[in-house]
Amino acid sequence: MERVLNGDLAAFEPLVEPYRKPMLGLAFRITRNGEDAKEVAQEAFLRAFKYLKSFDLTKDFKSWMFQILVRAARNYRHKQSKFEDLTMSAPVKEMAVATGRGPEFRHDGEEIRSRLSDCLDTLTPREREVFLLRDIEEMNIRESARILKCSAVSVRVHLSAARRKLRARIVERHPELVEGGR
Amino acid sequence: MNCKKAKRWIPLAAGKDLSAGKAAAVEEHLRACDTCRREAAEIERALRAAKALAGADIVQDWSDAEWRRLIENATAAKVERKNPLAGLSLKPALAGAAALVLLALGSYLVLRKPAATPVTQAALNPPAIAEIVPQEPAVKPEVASKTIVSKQTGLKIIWFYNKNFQGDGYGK
Repeated sequence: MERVLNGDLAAFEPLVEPYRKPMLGLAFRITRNGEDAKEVAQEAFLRAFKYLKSFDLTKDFKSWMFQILVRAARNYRHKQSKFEDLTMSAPVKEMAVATGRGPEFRHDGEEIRSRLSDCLDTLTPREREVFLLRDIEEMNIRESARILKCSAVSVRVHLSAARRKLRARIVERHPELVEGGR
Repeated sequence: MNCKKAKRWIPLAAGKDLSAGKAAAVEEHLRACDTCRREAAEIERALRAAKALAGADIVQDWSDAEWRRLIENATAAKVERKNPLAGLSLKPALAGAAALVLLALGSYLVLRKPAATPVTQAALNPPAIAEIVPQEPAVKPEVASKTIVSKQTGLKIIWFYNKNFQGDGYGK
């Protein structure tokens, strides 16, 4: 990071490369659209470089990156205000093509993504953010609160609601996912 | 612990997001309540299933060309010391506006004139004579008269006097 701050631009790529896929993955799950996800993640990387000097070295870099990403996604959502109306068919196709695997693999990938998206669809934007950070990205409550710029209590409240809704959706529409444990 | 409280905590207990004390309280409730125990088990299974789906989901990636272009675009930007999150939230602006409104309201309450003396029942219903204000005519008439107007009802009474100064009034 010091090299970047001292003007070595080539050092930026190795600094952020580990977050290339996690950032894009989180952006996709928040926006639920492949193209929007790329735009949001790209904006987050641009901001990360632009404001790198403001990063507090005592803090976690990944949390900082995610924080920028979540803010970029919110901004993008406000600008576009179309995320709620998106169907999953388009993104599923885009993502399947992007993986570049065979038809069988695409079919399985589509099925998994479709189910996951269906589960996430039941959540409000805030619940989705909290759920993705805590349960999918495995950030702890405090980190999630810092990323979302809210209190730990707020994270717990939304997390509790998100898990309740998730359970209802899975039991209602995808019971086969939980049948093994019965 | 009752079921209502347990239902709030069960989803958090499923992800080990409760303090030890609260988790123990939930556990104790689950031992005694079949409905909540069933719900807790379902939430745990649903959470495991969602995590498994996310783990099996192939995350999209940029092509190498896209990634190179992104890095080039990013590093072409001017480095700034400003916080990247500044200006993204309306909260500080709203909080400032709310503080200003409160300050203005407080100043008004402190600096405003003292309230008028409380209105008594007598003041609300004063004797009829107190509401009547004598009005002198603009031009002095040849015939001696006195005009009085009620503030409350607008009733105008003109009182004429004869030579012997005996009154003879009528109202308008």
